[in-house]
Amino acid sequence: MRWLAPLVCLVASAQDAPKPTISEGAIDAYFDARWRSAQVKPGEPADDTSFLRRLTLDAAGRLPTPDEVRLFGDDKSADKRAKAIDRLLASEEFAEYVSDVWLDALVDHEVTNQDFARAHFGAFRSWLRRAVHEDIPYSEFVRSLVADRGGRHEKPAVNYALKHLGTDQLPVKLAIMNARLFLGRDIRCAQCHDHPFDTMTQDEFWGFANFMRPLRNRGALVDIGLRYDGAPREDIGELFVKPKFFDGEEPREDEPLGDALARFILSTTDSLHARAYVERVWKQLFSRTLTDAKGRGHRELLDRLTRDFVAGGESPKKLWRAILRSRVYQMSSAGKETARAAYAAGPLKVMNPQQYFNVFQEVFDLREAHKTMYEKLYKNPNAGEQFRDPQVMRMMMFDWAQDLLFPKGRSPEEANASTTVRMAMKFMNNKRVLSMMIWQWGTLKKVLNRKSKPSDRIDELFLAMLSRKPTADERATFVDYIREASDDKKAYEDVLWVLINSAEFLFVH
Amino acid sequence: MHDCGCSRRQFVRMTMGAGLAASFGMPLAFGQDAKGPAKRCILVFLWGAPSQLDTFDPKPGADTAGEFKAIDTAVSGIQVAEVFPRTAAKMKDISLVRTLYSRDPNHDTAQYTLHTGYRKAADLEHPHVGSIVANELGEGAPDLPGCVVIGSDPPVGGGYLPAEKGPIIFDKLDAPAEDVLAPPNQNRDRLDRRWKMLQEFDSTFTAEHQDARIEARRRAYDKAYKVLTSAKVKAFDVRTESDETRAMYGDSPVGRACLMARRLVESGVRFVEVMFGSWDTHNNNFNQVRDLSKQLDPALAGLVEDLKRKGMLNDTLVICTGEFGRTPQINTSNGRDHWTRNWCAAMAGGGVQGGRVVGRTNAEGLDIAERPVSVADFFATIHHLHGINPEKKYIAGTRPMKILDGGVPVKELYE
Repeated sequence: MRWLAPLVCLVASAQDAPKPTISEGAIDAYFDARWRSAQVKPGEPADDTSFLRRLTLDAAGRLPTPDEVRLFGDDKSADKRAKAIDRLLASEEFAEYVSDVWLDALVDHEVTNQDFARAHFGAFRSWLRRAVHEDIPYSEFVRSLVADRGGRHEKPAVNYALKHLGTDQLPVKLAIMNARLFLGRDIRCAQCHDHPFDTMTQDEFWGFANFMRPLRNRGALVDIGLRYDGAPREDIGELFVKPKFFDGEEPREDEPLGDALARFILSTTDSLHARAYVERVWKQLFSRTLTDAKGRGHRELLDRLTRDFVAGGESPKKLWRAILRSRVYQMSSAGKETARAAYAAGPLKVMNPQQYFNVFQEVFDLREAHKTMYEKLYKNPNAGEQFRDPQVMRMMMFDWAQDLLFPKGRSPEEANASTTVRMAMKFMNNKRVLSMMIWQWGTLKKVLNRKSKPSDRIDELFLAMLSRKPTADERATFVDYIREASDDKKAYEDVLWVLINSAEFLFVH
Repeated sequence: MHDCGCSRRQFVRMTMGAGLAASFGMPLAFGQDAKGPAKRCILVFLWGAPSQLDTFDPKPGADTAGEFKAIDTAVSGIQVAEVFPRTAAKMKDISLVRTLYSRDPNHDTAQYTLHTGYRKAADLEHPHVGSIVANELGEGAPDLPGCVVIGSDPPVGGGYLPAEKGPIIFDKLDAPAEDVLAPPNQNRDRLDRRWKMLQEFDSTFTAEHQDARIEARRRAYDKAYKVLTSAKVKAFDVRTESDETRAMYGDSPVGRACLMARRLVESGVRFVEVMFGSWDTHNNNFNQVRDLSKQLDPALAGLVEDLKRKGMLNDTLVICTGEFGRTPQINTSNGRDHWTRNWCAAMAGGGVQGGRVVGRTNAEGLDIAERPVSVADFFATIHHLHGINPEKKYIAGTRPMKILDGGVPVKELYE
């Protein structure tokens, strides 16, 4: 629990002043004004089932169950959306999903088998999950990731830095990651030459990177003291300059470099760490940031959210709550792309890898399938103790699913934009994927076991896959198809195939 | 460790954010159709980077020679490492470039360069050379992809070209056709039935949601369906080839992939890449190279022989290379490390005259003695042989991008 200590101090000092939260309605007020001045007509609110599907995918990384959809539809209370948001934000599921998205970002979307094999990687995941669940102030979260030193297990946050210290033990990758994640700045080009778009120089790059120069991966993250050995490597543009923050600040004499770096990152004039975080959450929910690389766009709203976020004690959950409750988030996603870009329609997204994996894990019930196949394969309950760890099991399955379902090291988002022909072929035609659609553990089998009338089965399949009931037309079409088929089992398989391959299923809308 | 690149993921985000996806990848000017001796191309890419000394630039007698002997080939004066006997016998049809060089010792970025002709850039992704070739020459068969990659994930896709112009990737070298050939429980009728229902079902949602990402996905599905239902899909099935032909390529995954490559270009695919590796032999170099060559040698020789027998070698360019070379010095683990000062490419067909060697390295293989060939020169040669004007520009985002920046074709190969 040592990582909680700084939190206590912060809470104590904040008690003197009343703690403002992100003002209710700030986001709505901002967009109301925008729509008025641009004479844009905002879209309709999303209906209940669409809202619940979107919210559950965004805050729990999974589809709502048919029961959840039914219950939500039956609930007549006026504040049921707010209640659903609060319930999810308080849930373990939120912590699990959001921390997994964090994990993906912190490892730069490159989880390798080596990461799985390292038992302490699980400690990192647990630490992330607790940080999200207990809603520790974001500044403390960042401080741990930037300044913690020690063993993988004792100081789980160090797994982040260890991941990015390459075999050459150079600070380049870690510097790039720290700047991107915690300052919202892409500094890559300045490694070898002055940045063409940003104002950064190569000198500034290495001034920043050299804060991390003393770090070594010795199983634990250790600080060996600042040294410059030999000649700087020309091939990587290396410069032997003193550690210096972008604003020219230098560490104090007696201050550990990690502490100094955390201090600088967390005390920029514009609260860059908080801005970057607001943008990160916004991006996760709307698939676009509020401002572009040059700071143009909805700057006023970003300023406001950042200010309120900092003033409110940097509570990530408060920020999430404010956005999830806003009208723009709750609008129907139907409409043109230009409307979505103007926030006159609700968000439409490609599932991220975590959502994608969770959804397919449910549809195919990979957990049950693996457990059964594994036990059958080894016929020994004690074989392979490592797979009993649910975290390891999950990672292993994720790896497996990634291999099968989307190109290695690439998210479905990219796959969708670049190599989708291959994805389309896999889902339309790959014999392993086709057999998963109909195997004994999957959604289809469960629905067929639970219901017997064709119309009930179709309804239930729609609820499970699309979180809504079919329209009357859709129901009639599919029920007719089942009735006319010579083999109704095969006909249901066809229905599932259609739903899985539909755009409605694959997008978060 | 040069890390100036931006991942495809960020690139995609950027383009979507800016709403530029629609204008991407349009040629700036339509030139005349490409006319060159090469009408199609097969690239056998040896990822992980093989040793030049243990393949096509042996140094018999030198300290750096290593464990393999050099053997004579069908062309007097040209020797190759002893692990390539069948390729040696085909040397009258094959030429070697022994002096490729670069300055990038990192696998990922070097592979990027060897697939695009460009260094990895911060703000855009260049297309796979095969996609450019396919786009410039025009798709040879509308119901097959223009560019196919077999065996592994290539370092780039379609780059700034429209999504459906990117290569279609079959990343499993041992079962590349798994996604394409009809699975046991889905015959053509059933696929058609499902497809028809899907079109109808999807139409409501896609009508309500106008979006470039949904559009891109629809185009990809259309293309996938076209490929799956094409009569030409049989090209992916090497089992229909005679025993004799299959034996020619050797009984190995890379052999079968090369045979599939020939069947695909024969059916109209413009560019096929077979990715084969790993040649990253920091340890135990010689045993590893021996094993890999045992598979590669018949695959490569069989490919050249088969193309010739079919009368296709004249207009099919065959290229075999890796992302860089390996140190002439042998390290303490009996391995060879990364080396960018010189490495080899073997080329055949498509206008390349056989039996030639371009460039010479010094006695120990430690430096280029004569005729360095840059990566840009290498790509200029590929484009020249296809009759592609490398100066032609595409619009990448808002920026006009040349197909290739600089580089002079290696005319000793074809004149």
